[in-house]
Amino acid sequence: MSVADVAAVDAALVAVLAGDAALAALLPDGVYLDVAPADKTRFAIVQQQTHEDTEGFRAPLYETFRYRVTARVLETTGVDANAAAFRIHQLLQDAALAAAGYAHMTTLRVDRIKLTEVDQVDNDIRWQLAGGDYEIFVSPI
Amino acid sequence: MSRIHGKKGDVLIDPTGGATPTSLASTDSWDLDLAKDRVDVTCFQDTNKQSVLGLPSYSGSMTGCWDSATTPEQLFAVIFGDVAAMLHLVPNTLEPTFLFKGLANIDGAISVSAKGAVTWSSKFDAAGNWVMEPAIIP
Repeated sequence: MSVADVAAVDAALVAVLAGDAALAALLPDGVYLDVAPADKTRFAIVQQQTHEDTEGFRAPLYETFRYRVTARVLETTGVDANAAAFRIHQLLQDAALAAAGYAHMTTLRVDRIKLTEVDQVDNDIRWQLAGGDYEIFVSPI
Repeated sequence: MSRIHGKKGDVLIDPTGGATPTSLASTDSWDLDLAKDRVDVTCFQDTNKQSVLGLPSYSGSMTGCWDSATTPEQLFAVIFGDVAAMLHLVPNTLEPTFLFKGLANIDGAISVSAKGAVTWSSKFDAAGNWVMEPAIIP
């Protein structure tokens, strides 16, 4: 029976985003799972939304992960956040993903994210969020 | 043994119709229908409809995911061929001696969607006498 470590998919997704120079230019503070360190103002957040195992006889057939991937930029307009979201989409949509223990099937965006958030501490600050929800299909090997 | 989950089910197939089936890869379900023919024998003066039983059909279906390394050779070669394959349908591989087996005429279908995995489905009916093992004595 094939079993694989689901955390490998988390790591692979972050590695793809963190390893891209163009995205790093737009989001120089880095790419993080769930939460960024304090005082960062231009970064990307990767959050797992759902995960589903599709079982077969003798071995799992495939697994479906859904991640919310968003660029978060402290700025008044959404220009840089949108540009980062576009770069994220270029990096992920239907692109290969090398996760240890898995064969990658496909990655597809299923929803777009774009919103402006008011900072909870300083109400004069605006955070621009842009990105999408991505479904990643992988098969344990 | 006790009530069981279907996770440990299995389908074994011998494309030649022989007695050495191997596990059909990337399969996730099977069904077997043992419904018998009913022949209406209702006559005058009967107070309700009556029927007599024929033989069980031993037809069914299977589903799974397409895997180019195994599915074409193991399943679709049988579908395109003229030889009835030997099927073993196992409810639980932890009790591999409990099974249904027999020769089967196999049809198939493949489903491809931009929003999900490529899957196949298959229907079969009996091409010979089927049995349940171990046999039960009525």
